[in-house]
Amino acid sequence: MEISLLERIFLESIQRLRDERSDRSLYHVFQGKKSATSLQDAHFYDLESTFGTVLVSKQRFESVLTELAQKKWIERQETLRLTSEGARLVRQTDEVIIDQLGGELRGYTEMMWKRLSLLVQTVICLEAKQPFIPVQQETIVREWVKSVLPTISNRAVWLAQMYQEWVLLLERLSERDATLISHRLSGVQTGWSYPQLARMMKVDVETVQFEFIIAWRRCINDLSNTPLIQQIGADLHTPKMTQSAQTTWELLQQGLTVEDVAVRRRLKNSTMEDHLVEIAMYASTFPLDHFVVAAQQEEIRHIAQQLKTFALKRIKSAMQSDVSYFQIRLVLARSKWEGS
Amino acid sequence: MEALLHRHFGYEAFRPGQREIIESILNGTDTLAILPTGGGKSVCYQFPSYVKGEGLTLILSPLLSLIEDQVMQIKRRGERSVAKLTSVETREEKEQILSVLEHLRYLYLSPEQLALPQIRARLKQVNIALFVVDEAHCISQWGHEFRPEYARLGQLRRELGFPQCLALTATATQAVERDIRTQLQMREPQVIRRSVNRPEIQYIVDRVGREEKDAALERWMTRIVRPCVIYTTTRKEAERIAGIIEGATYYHAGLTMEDRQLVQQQFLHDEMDCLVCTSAFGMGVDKGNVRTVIHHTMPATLEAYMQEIGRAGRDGKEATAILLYAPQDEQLQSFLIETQYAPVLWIDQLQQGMRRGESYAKIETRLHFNPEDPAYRLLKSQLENGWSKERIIQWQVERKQLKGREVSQMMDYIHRNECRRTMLLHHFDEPAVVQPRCCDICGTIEWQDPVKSKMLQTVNWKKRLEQVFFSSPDSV
Repeated sequence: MEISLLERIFLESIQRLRDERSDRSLYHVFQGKKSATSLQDAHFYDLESTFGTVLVSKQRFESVLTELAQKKWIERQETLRLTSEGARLVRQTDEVIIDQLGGELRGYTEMMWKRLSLLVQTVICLEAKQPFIPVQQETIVREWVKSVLPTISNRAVWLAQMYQEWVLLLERLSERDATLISHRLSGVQTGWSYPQLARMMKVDVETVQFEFIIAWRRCINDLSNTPLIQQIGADLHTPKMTQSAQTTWELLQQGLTVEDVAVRRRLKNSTMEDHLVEIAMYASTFPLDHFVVAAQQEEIRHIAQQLKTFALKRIKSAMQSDVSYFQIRLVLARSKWEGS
Repeated sequence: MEALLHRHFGYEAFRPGQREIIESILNGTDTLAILPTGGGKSVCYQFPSYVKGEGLTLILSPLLSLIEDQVMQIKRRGERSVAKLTSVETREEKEQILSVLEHLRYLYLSPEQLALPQIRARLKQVNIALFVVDEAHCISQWGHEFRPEYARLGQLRRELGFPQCLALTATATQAVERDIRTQLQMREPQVIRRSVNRPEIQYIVDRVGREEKDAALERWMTRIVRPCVIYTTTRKEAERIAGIIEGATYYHAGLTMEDRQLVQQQFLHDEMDCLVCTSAFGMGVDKGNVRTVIHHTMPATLEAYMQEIGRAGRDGKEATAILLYAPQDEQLQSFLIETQYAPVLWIDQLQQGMRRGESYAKIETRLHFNPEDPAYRLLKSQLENGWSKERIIQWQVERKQLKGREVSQMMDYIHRNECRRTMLLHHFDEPAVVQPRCCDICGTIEWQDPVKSKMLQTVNWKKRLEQVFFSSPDSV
């Protein structure tokens, strides 16, 4: 049976959820909701790459799940799970789609496109003395372009180099990916809308949107040979943590104790725990031993592996020793770093 | 004045009616200007500021897309002291704009924003040179596009100390004109009315069977001159029809922001010459060389029809307007009229909730009302103004009757065996005009040779990249 790109994204994601999370959890990860739970879901279940990149409406999200259930590829109960047929479909190809969406870069991919497409259009049209409608309307992008323009002293030289860099990037891609991206770009000629690209590629509009996202992610994967383009995103590092956890992390790095921070920031115990889990997920170093003794860490990891689960309740009830949910979360959060 | 016009707007001369309106404003008179679409309304209210030199020009506009478009166009001509206050701006952005009001030349805002106390309070502190109400017919209950938010504008203007007022609209019958004058509390206004006649447009109505419509459209497409715009009533139809017309692209409010800019730019830039769209397209889009406007389905009113065909022939050269009609087309319009008003059940549910002391927000969640639904918003504002159930129902009945009459006027235009131009002019209380190249009833339709259509071409990525970076506009 024919399977669409979006359906594939759903199936692959649902498989990773291991029959342990609900449709709401998945929706929030797709939307990139910056809450402790969603961040933890994305991290534990290896869905970082989908975080905030599968931006479909709530309605569309529902309808995809309904269709998948009707085709008997998934089952919907408290949690989402693949049927054996669904699992077979996922296994069909070696290529994993969801890992190419770029969500782990937290908006970098998208912002790179916005900046680059507007800057290229602006410089080309200014040089050609051709009036244009800015392809990006967001103030933040337009302000950025405005701030960069004066630094380009010789537009013709800049354009020649920019053109060379685009050739370098597109050469590495498949014909299809390069065609998509080059036709979306605006300059002397205007880029194409998604419906127009879809018609050219003979797919539906939704599919072409995701194809474009993936193609663009591939395109800017390695910018080391294209310094001009690399420079455009040089200042873009969006922290993975929530703003609040980030603040806590900074204070801890300055040498404050957990208790100090909690008092100073008036954080509830549960909030403090959320912050620490976030830090454990994303920080390169974390004093795990300070919170969980080594033997218990080992036991938690062992059980999680044996039961193939991230469900805290199941792990806790299988434990010999007494640990808190917080401790389990910390160990699981850290296992991505220490396990590998 | 011509020198100023050239310096700021790049035009050599005023268009008919513009000078009269501008002089009326410079004389300090409240002014009501009725200018047909394409008559250059924006110059009328943007120009006086350069003569007067000081004071803020406040522009009230009903649609977000319209405001965004205007602001963009002003910036494009090199004027930077312009800002907008709409539902899109964040609180910080609004505060920032409010803090620099004294340095602004133009401020665009929606009536809802003007009604906010903090914005009004701030506006009271600055010198408002001109209070512009765009699409002023929205203020009239007789008008086809009545907007309840507009009804408060008169009172808001009074609170701002009666700044000089300029009301602009493309279409207004005598009844609507009277309504605008009283509601905005204009004092001995000068009314400047330009004929709605568009001599460069010839009119055709094609009545076909229900199953033959697409075939009829395709037949017309071989005859007409592009660039052309095809209007449909729904997004789905726009998508479907773009699929059957060669070289056509669709445009509607469901596209991403980026896609909308791309399609507009392609069309303006003559890279693509057939646009299939809903009424979302066209507001403020200034493309001079549209040669043909085709309506695949009739609009709800003659006013809307005039506005939409007004996008043709803005450069003053020959253009054609074609309206396709199939039996029962009017039923879609009647259906759409029904959906514009809240059902009686909602009134009961809301009133019950309020008697129990629930907030609107709470009732909305409980009953799954969509707070953005215009029918719901309208009902809410009526209840907030203390209207009784009976009054609301009575009002709805009257509105529906009015809208029904408007649909039958449209039907009349389609079915009557009378010069189309004359019918349109009579509708706006204007005398008939006799001219060559008039309409299908007069039998004076003239065709020009169709030009070869311009289509987007897929090329390999290397070629495409060269085109984007280097090809000169002429070689497109």
